[in-house]
Amino acid sequence: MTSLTRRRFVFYLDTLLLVVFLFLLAPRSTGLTVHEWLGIALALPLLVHLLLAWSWIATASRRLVSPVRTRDTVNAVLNAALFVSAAVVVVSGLVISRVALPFLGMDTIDDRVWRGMHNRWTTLMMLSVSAHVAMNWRWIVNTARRYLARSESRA
Amino acid sequence: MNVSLAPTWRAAIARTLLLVAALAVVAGGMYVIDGPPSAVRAVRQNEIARFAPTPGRGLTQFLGETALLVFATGVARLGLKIRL
Repeated sequence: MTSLTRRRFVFYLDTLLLVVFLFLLAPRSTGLTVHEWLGIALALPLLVHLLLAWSWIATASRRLVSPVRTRDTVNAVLNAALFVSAAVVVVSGLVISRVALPFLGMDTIDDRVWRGMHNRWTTLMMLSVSAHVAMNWRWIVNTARRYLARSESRA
Repeated sequence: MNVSLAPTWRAAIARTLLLVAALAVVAGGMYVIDGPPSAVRAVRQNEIARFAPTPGRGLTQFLGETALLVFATGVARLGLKIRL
């Protein structure tokens, strides 16, 4: 398995995550049923994304304890914010589920407070995703260019 | 295509459990801060009907959120100089 193959897989995966996330931000485009199931289905690609980034997570965690640069601390905090906000959004979404979890036989309560939490933390998650994309922008552009250049050379 | 998620299966499972544990910590914090969901605070609206998709509203919301994310990414990259 070449480095480019892994890189291309990660690029496809991350693109999928971003596109699905954009649809999750717009439940009026999908309806509540698709919104809930899409949110649940996102768990697996999200897990794969985190596992693929594990070495970075481990390094960033170590640097948080013994920072080399201020940027390392800032980036680690931003990514932690993304994880926490995503966790809050996912958990609160499951708690207030109207379609998916009742379909699976679980009783849920559409609690006003948890709904408010879901909505507020979605905004924070969106900002965290923006920072995450910004942080990795150079990798995104370089991979897209390398992949597109490779596709054109094959054509 | 062979993409390795971890050096071994055991490592992959251990890392997954660690992520689930972190998720559980966050969930626990939510329950402590806001309390468990309560029927007293239940929303009485029909949420499924409320979010029934329509092309106009759906497209507007999708494009609006996309534009917001693009703008926020631009501010983060160019304004706040966030990078690796």
